[in-house]
Amino acid sequence: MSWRKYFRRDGRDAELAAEMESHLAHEVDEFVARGMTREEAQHAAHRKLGSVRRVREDVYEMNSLGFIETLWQDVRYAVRMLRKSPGYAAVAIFTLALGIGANTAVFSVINTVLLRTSPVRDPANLFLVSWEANKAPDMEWQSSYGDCAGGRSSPNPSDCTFPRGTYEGLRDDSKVFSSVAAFAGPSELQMSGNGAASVVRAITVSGEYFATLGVNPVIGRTLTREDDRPDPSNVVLSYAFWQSNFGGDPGVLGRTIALNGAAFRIVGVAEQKFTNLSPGKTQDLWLTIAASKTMGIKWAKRSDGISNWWLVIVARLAPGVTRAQAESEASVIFGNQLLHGEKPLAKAEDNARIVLTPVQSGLTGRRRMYSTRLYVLMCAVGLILLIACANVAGLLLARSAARRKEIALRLALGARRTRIVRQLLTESLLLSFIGGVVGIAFAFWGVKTITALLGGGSAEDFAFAVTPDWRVLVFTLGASTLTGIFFGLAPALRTTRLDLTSSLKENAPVNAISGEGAWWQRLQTGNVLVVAQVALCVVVMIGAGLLVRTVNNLRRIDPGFDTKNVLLFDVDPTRTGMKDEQAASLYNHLREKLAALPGVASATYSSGELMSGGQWREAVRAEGSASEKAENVDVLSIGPDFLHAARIPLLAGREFTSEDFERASTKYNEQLKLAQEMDSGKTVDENAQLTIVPVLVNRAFAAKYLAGKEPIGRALTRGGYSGATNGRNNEPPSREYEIVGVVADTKYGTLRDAIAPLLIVPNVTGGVEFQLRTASDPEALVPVVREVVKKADAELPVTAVRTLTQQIDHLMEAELFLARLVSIAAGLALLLSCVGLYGLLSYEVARRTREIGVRMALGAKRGDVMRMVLGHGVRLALIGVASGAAVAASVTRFLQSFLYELKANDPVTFAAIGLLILCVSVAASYVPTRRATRVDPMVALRYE
Amino acid sequence: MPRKAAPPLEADLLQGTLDLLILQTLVMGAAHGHTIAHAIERRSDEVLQVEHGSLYPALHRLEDRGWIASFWGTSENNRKARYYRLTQAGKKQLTHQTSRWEQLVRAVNRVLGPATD
Repeated sequence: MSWRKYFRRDGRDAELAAEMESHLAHEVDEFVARGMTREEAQHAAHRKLGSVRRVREDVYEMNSLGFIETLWQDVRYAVRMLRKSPGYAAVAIFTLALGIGANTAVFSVINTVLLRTSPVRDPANLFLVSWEANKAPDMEWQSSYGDCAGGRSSPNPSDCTFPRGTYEGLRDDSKVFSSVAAFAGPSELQMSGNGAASVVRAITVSGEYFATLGVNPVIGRTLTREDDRPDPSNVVLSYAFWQSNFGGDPGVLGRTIALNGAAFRIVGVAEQKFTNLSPGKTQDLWLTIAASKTMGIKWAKRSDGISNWWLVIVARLAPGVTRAQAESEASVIFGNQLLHGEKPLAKAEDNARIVLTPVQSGLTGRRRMYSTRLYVLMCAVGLILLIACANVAGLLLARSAARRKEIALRLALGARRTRIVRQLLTESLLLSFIGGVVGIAFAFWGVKTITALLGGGSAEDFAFAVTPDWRVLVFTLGASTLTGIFFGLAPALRTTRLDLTSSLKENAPVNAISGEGAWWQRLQTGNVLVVAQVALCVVVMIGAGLLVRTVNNLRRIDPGFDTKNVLLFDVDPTRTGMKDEQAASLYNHLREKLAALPGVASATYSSGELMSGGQWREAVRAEGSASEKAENVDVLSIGPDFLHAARIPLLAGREFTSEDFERASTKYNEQLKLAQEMDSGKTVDENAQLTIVPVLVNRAFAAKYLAGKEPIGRALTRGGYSGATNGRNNEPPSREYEIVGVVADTKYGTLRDAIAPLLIVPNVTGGVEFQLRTASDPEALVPVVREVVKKADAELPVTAVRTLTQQIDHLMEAELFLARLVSIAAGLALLLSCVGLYGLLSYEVARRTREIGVRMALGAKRGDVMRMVLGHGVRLALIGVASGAAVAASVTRFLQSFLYELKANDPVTFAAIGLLILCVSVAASYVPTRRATRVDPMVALRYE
Repeated sequence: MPRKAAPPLEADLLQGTLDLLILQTLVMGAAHGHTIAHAIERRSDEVLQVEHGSLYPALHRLEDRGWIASFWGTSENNRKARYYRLTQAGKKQLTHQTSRWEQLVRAVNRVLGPATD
């Protein structure tokens, strides 16, 4: 028999019909034989057999692949039903598309930022090496490019940068790894030899880097261990950089470019999919550790020392080695280096050890920056989807009232309840799938918006390419299915639980007249849905309210200097080897030329600039200060005329003079000379008194360290580097600075920082940030400024051109991002809930037209009717607002880390949002209410 | 006609027993649906009332399994009727199911019967 039965069902059905016919005939014969009339016998036979159709359907279904069969049937039916009421279908699909689209968009971004696997061969078997200890090893230099989450502060310090020796030890002395590679960066280098000079980002890698990762070249070759030597220096370009700066020309192989003045040969281009190892970090090219020493990168000179921790190490386990085995062997090697090196960096009881984590979870890169806010956003859009579900469920419920007769008829004709529920569910699933497809279109737009805002307005900052993949597809499909079931199930169950007789009667009485209970029961679901929508809406709105108020609070902060109409840009001529003295005169030349431009009020420069989010700290102690030890204070290094240009008031003493800059320069050269002598092995007096540099301090500095004392003329001593873990605090203090003036307080790193002690020194070395105060829109001046710089030094790239306002916005990027997107979400939530409330009340009024007519005929006033309908709406809104506020009160604390000068349960926000939603609810109830009061009793009584 | 000792049981109360009853009825020769239903009712002294609605799906199910085969013929009333007969596989199945049934009945009786020890 088997499958063939599925194909000749119609024939078999005809046979069965004939068979049943014959059965009936025999039955009738029998009844007639017992003495009934033929007519009686026919009735009796039919009664005894029951529904012939039902039997036929049973057998028909038996012979079908039931599910697919009925599904197809249901889908066709559902399409017909939707086409019959296009308005309803459009509203439902649009609502669902919004919900599903918003979720798909946010999930696409989350997928790319947080879930996507590393673009290397077999990422599950590539491990990040990091250390843990009870106390951080005594490192002197430590740099980190944000590849992993880690910190040196106790308790449980851990990090993923190592001295070069550890990398070489793991590579050469252990059998547990099949390959080990190290990298650091990116560092910014000046490139020339390919058009105008520009700044590129280079990752410094060990020779085994590409082989360990399993990254192939598209053209040429990648770097190998043989390349890890200074001469000749080879580089590999990233695919994107090759495309954008070399037009994808295969002829780049063998070409020579200059990086910070040193010659490099291009040997290959890495494959396109290898964009980065640490998520969200980008680079233009890769060069070797050995090569990095030839380029005048300051840290590179010390890069070999055991106390300079700067390399990130990744490794693959040798076959058959477990992670635990590898960790314990690596820990032995690492421990030996720390304990028994030339200079011990840790004690045995510190228990410094190696930990291996798969790169997928270990190398977080810029993922960490975005994760919290993406999850917050996901929650917000999740709520939107719930609201959309409740909304469409409400629509379905209202519509099902119109279909009561249809469904009652089908039930009466023998359709089983499950069958009808299934068919109604098919309809809702069809809606949600169409919604999902339309939603994907919304999602494309949404992803664009999100990524633009994640980058704080500039696309380069958000270096994740958001593309849909199978995970997004599965997500959207899953979301659509769940949505369909979610909003479809309740109305479907509701609709099929009918009192058949009353539904079938042509002139069904309006139940509300015969008793409150009946309509209340039927409407319960609708009321609950509206209350849920309002409540969810309240949650999203309160979240948005808190974030918007945070942004306002942040914007109101006075950083202590004038931030309006300031153009910023960076230059660093010392990258290509310009001496600091020359650089200083170039800066002064630029300053004069720029200040002379029409529309420029003043021009100055600084380093360790204000409001950059960065931090430069130095440990100093004011002589006569109450504190015994040197303490870390913020340092700002400024050029001439800075205070005036930034409009920071001088409170006491004087500003820097040109003589002050000369003294600073003299001291810098003295220090350089000392360092050189030490490097060449001469014995030097480390405590020799160097030139004392004049400095300014802010009011907070004077108040904290010199309260009640005269700050001017006081000497500052210096003690050790920030961290001060290496015991330098014990060295005899040397006089470094002398305070010549006190300035007003300003914010230093970010707007959120509290005012802290600040040390202002004359700038004499390195690259600087120029600041132009302009009369009008600073951005209009950009071309002129570039022209001026080009005239002064054609080889000097101008980078990071932005306004101070943009830079400050960038600092509160996370808050702005959330405030904007959650506000959009809140707007959607409000719109949907209003539509929901409006829909429910309209349906109510339409359904109760006759009741209202009767009431009015019996003497009810318009006011009474108005109170009835409006009261219903307001009651629901009140319950919604109350329950929403209760939910919000318990969940908004997860937002606390984003808020500024605001409690997560800020009563003002809660009250304002509650009031707003009540007002909007009244507005949404207005139209249905007015319709109710316009009911003409005569017309209403003839209704139906 | 004897009075009913008990209210009629619906045959499909005991799942699967309808199949067994149909097979047993067909041992005596080919029959059509109406005859089968009445034969079961008569032989059970009207205790088992075959719900005709479930008889036909059962017949089709048995035919699908290959235990019975069908052909169109003319009935004793001179009407067209669909006859069913037992196949070889059906006979085997009947033996098998009958012994299963007897096992079941014995087991139930043992439980219901007076305790012997």
